Amino acid sequence: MAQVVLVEDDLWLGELYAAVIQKAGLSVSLKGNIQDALDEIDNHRPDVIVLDMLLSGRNGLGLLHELASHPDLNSIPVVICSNAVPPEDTVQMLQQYGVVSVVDKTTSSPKHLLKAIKGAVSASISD
Amino acid sequence: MNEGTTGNASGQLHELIAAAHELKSPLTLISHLAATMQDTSMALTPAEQAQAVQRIRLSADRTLRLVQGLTTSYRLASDDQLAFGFELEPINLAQACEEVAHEITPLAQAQYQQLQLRLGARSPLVVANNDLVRSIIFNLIDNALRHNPPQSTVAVSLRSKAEMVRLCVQDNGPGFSPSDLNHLAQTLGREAQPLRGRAGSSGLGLYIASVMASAMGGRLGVGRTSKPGADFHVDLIHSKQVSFL
Repeated sequence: MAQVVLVEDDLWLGELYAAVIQKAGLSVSLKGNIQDALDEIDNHRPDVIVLDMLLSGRNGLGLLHELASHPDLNSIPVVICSNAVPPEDTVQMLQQYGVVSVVDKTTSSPKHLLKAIKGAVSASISD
Repeated sequence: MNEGTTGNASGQLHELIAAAHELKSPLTLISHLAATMQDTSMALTPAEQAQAVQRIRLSADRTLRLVQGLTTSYRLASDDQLAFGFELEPINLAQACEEVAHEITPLAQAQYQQLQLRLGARSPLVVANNDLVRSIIFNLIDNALRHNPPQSTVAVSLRSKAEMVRLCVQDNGPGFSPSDLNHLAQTLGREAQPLRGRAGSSGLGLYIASVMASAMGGRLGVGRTSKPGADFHVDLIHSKQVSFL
């Protein structure tokens, strides 16, 4: 079963996404901050990371920097799911950090997020 | 256009952007919960459906309170014909805290948090407007619940001084550096500003509370805490009227 680490500090949104991911037959671990997420990623090396960018304390970019500095973790595909979608030139730059999709929370639904996660899982497995 | 007009327009734009930012999260949540409930392939259990409905309701109530508060604070801050009068009267602050806590407890519980009231044996009276006081208490507690981690407590306490009564709301969320705290203390109430280290916060609720407190001769402030978390308080004018009830 594919493993997903979901980093979302809005508790109710996180629980909703986790339920949707779980019902789709994937295993999910919900983390509310960067440090807990890093510990989980380090211990279990998930197939996909779903990342909100605006988090309390260190933001999502901090986690991407951290992953990039670990050779065993920097190939994990990342799906960004945020209210603050970065501009296009930044999105291009994010590809270097393993970002495979950017989902805009305000214009999408949980189904769109699930589709992006499944796409990332497929890409991860085919690699 | 004179400087004052420019500043006012800039301030209003600032509040508008803050409001848009603040409303985005609950509206996104409401939309996503509703979309999930509509999606038959999700096969939600009755318990999951009940939880989704409750969260939609609580998020909508929270959003409506914010919009209502924004409208009121705009009217209080403006000096045009939209401005409205309000009555000041002796208000039992402990009783107001208990009533608001009772109303907001379902929101706290749904976020796996507790509210603790430390109101003391004596009930201080303040010279205030009942609606504005309740709105301030709602905003301070709601702000704390947003940043307080699950399984922890938001504490509401009262302290009487000679001329003022202080209502404190403490949470266990991310704290502020000394320089951020100084900046916050100096700028609270001037405009809505994001709280550094507290993601998703536009500071709009605190701004609204500050405008309301000022309108009643009170003041919103932020204090230092010896542990992580934040301590926002409001000082309101102590009423000389005595109540033995």
